[in-house]
Amino acid sequence: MNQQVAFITFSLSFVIHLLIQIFFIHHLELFGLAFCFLYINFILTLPLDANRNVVLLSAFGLGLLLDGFYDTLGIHAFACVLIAYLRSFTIGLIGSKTEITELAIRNTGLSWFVTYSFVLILIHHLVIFFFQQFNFEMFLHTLLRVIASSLFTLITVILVQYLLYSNTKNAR
Amino acid sequence: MRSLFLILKSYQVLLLFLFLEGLSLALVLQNNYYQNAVFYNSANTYVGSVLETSSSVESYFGLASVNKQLSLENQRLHGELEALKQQVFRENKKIRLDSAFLNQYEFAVARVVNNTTHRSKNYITINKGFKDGIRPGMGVIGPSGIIGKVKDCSAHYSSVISLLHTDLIVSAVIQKNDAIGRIQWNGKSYSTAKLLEISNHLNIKKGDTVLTSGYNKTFPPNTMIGTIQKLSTKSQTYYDIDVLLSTSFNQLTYVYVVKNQLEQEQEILETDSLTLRP
Repeated sequence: MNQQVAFITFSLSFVIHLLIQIFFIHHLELFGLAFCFLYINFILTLPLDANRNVVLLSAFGLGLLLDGFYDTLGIHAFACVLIAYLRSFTIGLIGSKTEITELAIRNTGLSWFVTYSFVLILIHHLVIFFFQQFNFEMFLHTLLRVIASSLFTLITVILVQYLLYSNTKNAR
Repeated sequence: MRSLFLILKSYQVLLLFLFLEGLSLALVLQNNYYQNAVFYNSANTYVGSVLETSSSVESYFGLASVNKQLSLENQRLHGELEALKQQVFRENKKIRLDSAFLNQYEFAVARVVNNTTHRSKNYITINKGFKDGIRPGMGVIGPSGIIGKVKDCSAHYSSVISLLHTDLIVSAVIQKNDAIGRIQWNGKSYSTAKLLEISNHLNIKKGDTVLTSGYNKTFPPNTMIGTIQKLSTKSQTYYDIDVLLSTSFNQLTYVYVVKNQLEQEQEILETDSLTLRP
């Protein structure tokens, strides 16, 4: 029963992240510099005990589907699989005094979650932007885009956390 | 054998990781080298129809500006038509152009369903494809100037390499003195591109008009590209020229795909003469 619930949440999360990215965030940009890739929130918030093979495969699938819409065959898939793989190492590296049971601000606290998300978002965006550029001309310009976009994505990820999870905490 | 399986199992996640990364990397590289070998991109039928749904909702909000744009274009075309009529009338109606040249270019209207301007390699998706006679390599122009070149087609959609793509090079000419150069985007602002290979002894000024030259098979000659916005003489031989593009790439709605009926003829002739060369 529990497994079924987990599976349904997992599939729903996958589809919703995909649709929101394609229909609402695809063309979003600030000052021609900052772009939002909120869809990786899916990978960031997958349960800790999820099967790592499933995590890798779903990250690959999500990335590949988005590649079609961004005309960047393979790039999003590459970046997604990379952060899906580095996820558990990042959690281990940051460490924590209390045990982490759920990847959400209500469990981990704001500063832990910001560190964790920012590291992975930064890696993901570095890969995306430098792969698209395919050379190191305009290095600083691309770096500026990476940093601006990472902050943009981070802010939306945090907003989603507060919108979706903060109330349920009081309700329970 | 059993220990081999055990080793494989303990590294299972790492192996899957490496396999998926290898697969993605192969896709990236293939996409970069073989332009036509791509079947999965925004020209894909399913991806295209989702993009079209999304853009048809957006297009309602832009109807006013599209109308204005189209009526301005109508006005300009009427003006040109009148001027040509007058000219023919004055020349005693004696002009007989070869009909093959008169009908050399055919235009197909398409709607832009997806467009980016912020990457260094930008693509546009339009809602016409193979079934409408669109083929890879055809030029795409808009009401106010050139836009790009068709890269891939599916049955109903095509993916177009935007002029805002650092690899697309277009032969250009300065209207005033017929100086030939080439236009290439430098990946920075979506409103300007670089005009290269114009010798710095030529007399050109800010505001001069830049058109497509007759040395390309993709675009009709003398199609608008833009006007010179800034020029400096940094290098010894060439000007460093910024061209203000006449098309605003962040507001594309309707475009025309150019079918050059004589392209094949020209191509055959050119390859023949190349192979015949001693």
